[in-house]
Amino acid sequence: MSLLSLALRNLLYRPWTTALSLILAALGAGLISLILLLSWQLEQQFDRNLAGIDLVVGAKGSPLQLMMSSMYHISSPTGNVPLSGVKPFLNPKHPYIELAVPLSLGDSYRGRRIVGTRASFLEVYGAELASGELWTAPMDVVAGATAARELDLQVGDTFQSSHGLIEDDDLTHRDAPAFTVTGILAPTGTVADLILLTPTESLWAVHDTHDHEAAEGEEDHDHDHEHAAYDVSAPLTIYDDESITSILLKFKGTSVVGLNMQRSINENTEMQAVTPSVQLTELYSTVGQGEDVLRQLGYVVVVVSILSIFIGLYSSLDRRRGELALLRTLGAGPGKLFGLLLMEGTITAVAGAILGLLASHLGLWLVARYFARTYRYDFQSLVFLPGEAYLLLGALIVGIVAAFIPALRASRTDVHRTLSR
Amino acid sequence: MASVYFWGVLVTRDLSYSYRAGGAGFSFPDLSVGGGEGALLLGPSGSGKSTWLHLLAGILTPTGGRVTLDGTDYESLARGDLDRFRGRHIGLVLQRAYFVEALNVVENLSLARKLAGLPPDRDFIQSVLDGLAIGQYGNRKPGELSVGEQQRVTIARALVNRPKLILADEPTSALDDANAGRVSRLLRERAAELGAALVVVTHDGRLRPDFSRIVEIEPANVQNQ
Repeated sequence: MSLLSLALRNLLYRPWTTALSLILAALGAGLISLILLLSWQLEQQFDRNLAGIDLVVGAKGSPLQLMMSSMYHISSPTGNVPLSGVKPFLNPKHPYIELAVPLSLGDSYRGRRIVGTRASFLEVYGAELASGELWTAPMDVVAGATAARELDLQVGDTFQSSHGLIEDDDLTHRDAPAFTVTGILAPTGTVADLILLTPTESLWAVHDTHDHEAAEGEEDHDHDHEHAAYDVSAPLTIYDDESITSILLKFKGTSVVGLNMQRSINENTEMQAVTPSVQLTELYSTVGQGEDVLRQLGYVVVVVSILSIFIGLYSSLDRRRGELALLRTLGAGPGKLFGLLLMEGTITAVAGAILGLLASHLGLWLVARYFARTYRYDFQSLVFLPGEAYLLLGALIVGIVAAFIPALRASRTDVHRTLSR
Repeated sequence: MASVYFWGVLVTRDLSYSYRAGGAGFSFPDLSVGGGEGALLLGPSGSGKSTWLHLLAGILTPTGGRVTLDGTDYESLARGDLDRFRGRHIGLVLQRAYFVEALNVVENLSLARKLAGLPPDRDFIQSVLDGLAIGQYGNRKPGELSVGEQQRVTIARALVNRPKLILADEPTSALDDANAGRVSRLLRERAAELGAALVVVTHDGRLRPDFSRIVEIEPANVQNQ
């Protein structure tokens, strides 16, 4: 029967008071940990997917929307830009541009986005093939690791895309040529895991078919033949009258070039250029205000939980005075009584905090499931942050603070007076 | 000098206590109780009985005089050491039956041993409980027992460390004649078995025939100093 187990038994002996204190401590710690985890996860996701991209060029509209749709594949694209307007950026010999990734967005397969692009996309996100091979013709598809797993796609599978980004049977391109999976990517931990990649020409092919069918209705065969003629490894600069959604750019050298190019695009063209890091900073500061409110709420709950532990212990003292005096007669010095009460307080606080951490991770797991379904984003709910260790340390301090005065009073139990009553 | 102390396990000399420095206080007759011996300290309420008992237990520090138990002068022990010394060598039967409510009977007794620095020794605890005819209550919470049974648990707790001194404060005042007689007999028998000195403080005259050594405490003990 050690002091620790005695403290535990005393806590269990008044279960309702203990439960209330536990719940409050759990609520405070859980709230703070949830905020920590969410903001960490968000920044992780966003930062990891920055992938060194300096500029996003696309149709005019909301800059945040352009960045979200082109880099994170959340939200709708801002519209299309004619290839003729962006050709200079796609020229591999451009003096300032190290890498340009053309993107054609807007179609999907069972909720997973189909992205028309070039092999440079894989280079940006450091993606490598896990099985199969890269596309060699339009309608070839390379699937991201997560997308392939969740859609149960194997190399050689075929499917029909749908128009738009939501899962809707009515919007399936029934008469368009089918996509064929030629490869599956290894997991990268980036947005590349979540999408289906195909040469830009595939999307034109799908939509060409529609247009032509509407007009003539019998030229499918010719078109299929035509598709095979595309060279899907050549720069898109060979086309004139097509359009794409946006371009991701990586610059050579300094950011001064980038700033100048951004200004010049925004001022002189019908397109807009967005710097992702600047947009992210703005996004964080907006989200951060909500975070601050929640965090302050968490602190208030922590203060309430300190009070609850304090009141629980303090009010138990009157009833336990005889018991404490007894412990003194049995050989426990004042220090032991102090330690006993201090332990009861800190056990409550720390156990509550652990419960809170578990609850917040469970909560995050639920949120992650929602996010995975709605935004196709993966959250890790099992990652424990160093901040959470500090949270446990904080709980220890909370327990000590809450129990200090009751513990001091317990240690000063007047044995003679108590036993003579 | 030494010969005065020779016979007793518990020896007191010139013991006095006052609640306020220089105020009215109590002074107590010298006492010497040997191992296996019993002494009855008899007096009405307000005569300073509990104060005397708490001085003997080392709970209170006397204003004057000294207490020695088996050769150890309480004065020579630091505060924490005195607590440990009491836990180890003195068994207290308190007027009110206090327990650690969260623990069952056996755990209460193990705790008493633990606080005295002794290993749990379940067998000895069980034999002490059996000797007091409460062996079947080991797994019960003290709060679930009758007053008489609780009383016996406190006696068991006083015995469980094999103390050199057993101090009992009004152990029989709440009991009827038959039970009072039984408790008195149990205390004397167990003390004799352990070779411990037994000191019973009470206002209960029924115990008078049970003890050969009786010290009457008069209210006149209260002195103006």
